[in-house]
Amino acid sequence: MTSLFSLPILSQQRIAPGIYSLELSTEGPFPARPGQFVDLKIPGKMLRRPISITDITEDRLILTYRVAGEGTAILSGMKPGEVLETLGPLGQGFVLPEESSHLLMVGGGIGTPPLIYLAKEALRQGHQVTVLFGFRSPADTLFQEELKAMGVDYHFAYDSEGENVVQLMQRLGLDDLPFFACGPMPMLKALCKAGSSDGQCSLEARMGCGFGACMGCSIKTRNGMQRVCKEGPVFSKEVLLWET
Amino acid sequence: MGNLNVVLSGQEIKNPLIPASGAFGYGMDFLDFWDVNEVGSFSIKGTTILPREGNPLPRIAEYEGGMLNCVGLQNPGAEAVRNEILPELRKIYHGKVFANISGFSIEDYEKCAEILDPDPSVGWLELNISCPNVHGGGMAFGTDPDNAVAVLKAVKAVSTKPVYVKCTPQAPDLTYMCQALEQAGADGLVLLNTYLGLRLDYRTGKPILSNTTGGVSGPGIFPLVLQKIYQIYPKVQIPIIGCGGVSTARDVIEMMSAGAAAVEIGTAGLIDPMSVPKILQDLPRCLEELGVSNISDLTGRAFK
Repeated sequence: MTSLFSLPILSQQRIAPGIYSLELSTEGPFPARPGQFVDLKIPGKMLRRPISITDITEDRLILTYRVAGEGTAILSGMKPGEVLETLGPLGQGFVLPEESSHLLMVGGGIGTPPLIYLAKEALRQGHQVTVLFGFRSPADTLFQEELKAMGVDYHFAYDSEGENVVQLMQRLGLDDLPFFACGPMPMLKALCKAGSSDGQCSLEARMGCGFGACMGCSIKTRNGMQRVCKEGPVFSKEVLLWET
Repeated sequence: MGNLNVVLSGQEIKNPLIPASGAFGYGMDFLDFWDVNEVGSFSIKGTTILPREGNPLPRIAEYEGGMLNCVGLQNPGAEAVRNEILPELRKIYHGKVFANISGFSIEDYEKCAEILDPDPSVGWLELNISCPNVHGGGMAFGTDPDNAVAVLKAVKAVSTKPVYVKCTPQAPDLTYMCQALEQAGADGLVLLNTYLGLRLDYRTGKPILSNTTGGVSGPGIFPLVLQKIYQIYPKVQIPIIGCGGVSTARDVIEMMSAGAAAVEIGTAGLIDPMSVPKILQDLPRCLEELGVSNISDLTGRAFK
């Protein structure tokens, strides 16, 4: 159930240009499923910042975020021992299939973090997993060590080398696999067009409350207006419209 | 232990805290955090006769004192609210709510009132002539006293429940507006809806919100709204519900002292979903500290 937690910062480090990894201390595993997110209260800012979940361990909540504005800049300056008021878990996560299958995780840039937690969970449940991550350049690469440690099949695409993840998927002949994706809208749109009919996309939106009350993040879908924070952030491919 | 009851047009509510329209959905989203039956009443999401998708994203921006929104009255339409949502609401909330209604013509408001007024969960109608985020409706009625009075009269004619009018700070002469509404039969006033505002993106210099402008809310507008209530209270006899930037029990006391009979709370509940129960917990202590036994005695204290 969603609630407010006061979580001390255990560590924080810059892992790529503009990208930070943040570890928060939890009493027992944080009760979130892959694809759900948390909303962090940033000192000095009114609205919380929604951040996806990279991983959950017995006593840690691991988040990865990009410094995109003033709020995340303040967050990046916070030190171990400081406490973050954390609202979560929020939203609906990814839904893994019941029977074991070969699944494709497709991420772009700062959309890659929730797919790490999802890939781990999918492996635990006995699925075969292939991970395709796209970044601007090799210097922007995230999670190579984590993927290596998981022993999962993974491939990277770099804009600087003239290939995006969708092209990578096609080159590897993986376009029939059910996909789980998070990344920039143009990537998700191209993926939904080129990929399997069975896909789930996690979206990003500016949010007000993060828990459904303000309707500040509603999008139009084939199921009517849906809140990215509440009915999302993960939507199945067939309900998404690509008007925006 | 102080008595928190207040009476609004003959109907008693157990405390003066009323989550504001648009910041509370239909109550369901707060159930993870607290029992919404703790509040005296709440105002449902602004309802129009036809379903509305609202404005495109982004609908939310921030400022040091709170937030701006341009949600744009997203709602499923009055029939769906009555037939589908209010029956669900009754399962989680046992009090009566304010039915916030809006529209683009006098007929829209009238039809909306006809549909929602008879519902057993509706205790009051809240006439929203102050939404800054729709074109040709909402606030367009709230800035012109003749239009405002015409809408009010049409709604009064088809309603059995008390009609409260939620005014906009954009009205050029708010005192005149409020007096005109009182004369035309308004049962109460809700002061105020959001202030019209703007934020531009630091990098592009372009508006952040899809609708260019948005409604400014949050603690930053509290002193502005307080001043308006203080200004209007001596000029009208009907009850005023204060609305604007209330975040603490002390804010509630202060707004009631300026003349509010009850207080709506919006943005504070979005910033911290626990703010309403926290205020309710703090209020009795404030009354004790002030040596006041009935919170309703605080209304208009500034003038006593």
